[in-house]
Amino acid sequence: MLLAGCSGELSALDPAGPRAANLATLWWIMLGGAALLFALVMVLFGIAYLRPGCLSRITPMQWIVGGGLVLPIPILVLLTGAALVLGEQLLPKGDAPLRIEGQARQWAWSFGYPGGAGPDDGTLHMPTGEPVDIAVTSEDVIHSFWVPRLGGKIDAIPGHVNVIRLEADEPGIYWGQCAEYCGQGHDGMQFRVEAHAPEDFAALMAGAAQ
Amino acid sequence: MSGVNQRALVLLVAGFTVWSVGFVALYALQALGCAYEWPQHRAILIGADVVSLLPLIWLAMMKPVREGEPATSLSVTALWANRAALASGVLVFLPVTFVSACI
Ligand SMILES: [Cu+2]
Repeated sequence: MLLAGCSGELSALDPAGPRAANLATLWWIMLGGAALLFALVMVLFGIAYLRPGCLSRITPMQWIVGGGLVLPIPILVLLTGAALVLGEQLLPKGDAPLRIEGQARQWAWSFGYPGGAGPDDGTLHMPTGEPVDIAVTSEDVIHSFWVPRLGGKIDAIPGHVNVIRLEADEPGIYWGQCAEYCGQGHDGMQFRVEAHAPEDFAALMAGAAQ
Repeated sequence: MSGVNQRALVLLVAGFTVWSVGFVALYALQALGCAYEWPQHRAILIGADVVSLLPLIWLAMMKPVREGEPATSLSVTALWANRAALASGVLVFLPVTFVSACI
């Protein structure tokens, strides 16, 4: 019930591909760790309130060393390590089989396919089951390209191309949202992403090229 | 303020000042190396990591007071602040030696 609001078209907690899954895993690690620490502090708080005698044997120095060093340092090291390992796997290393141009402007996105193929309908079409690089740039101000169910975010910067790698497991419609405030129309700057089975994607590209 | 405490006060801020300069320098070298595609990028980052740790090591090993001076709480705090700066320098700078620098 509590997490019912976390599913849906723009939910990073409902990943539809391996890259988004990494980010969701990191989110769950952070939630779990935070919940554990919160519970620990609440237990200590409860003991201090109900059985003050139990804690009076611990000296202030022990509190400082325990609560300020022994407790947070391993947690921060583990969290940083997890973020590094999971984040490293998101990077677009080498070339993906397919590279699509993504251009942002106030307040819409347009996408271009290799060789000028593909429909020019404002939808990002991509094949499933393989990594796809999106080369993101902007015509005016800084925007941010984000398809929460397929991967992370990347800034769209005028005069500069940033590459983000996405991957979808299943054919379907996903949605993207500009994730950097870019003016009054920012909240409506969504885009549609359609993932096709590889043969359907090939047919779409061939059909549109004619 | 006594001379002992004046020196301790300088030492108190020294460690984390060096730490923040090192942090900014590493950040800049990482970005510049990617922008200009330096061939020795990783070696430069590792070198800069070592160079920024050296003054932190020196500060962390420094005696809090000179010969014959009494230790004050400020001087002891300064010593431990500098040891904390060294520890966080080792931990926070370490990733530049092995994680992907450019995409
Ligand atoms: Cu925008």
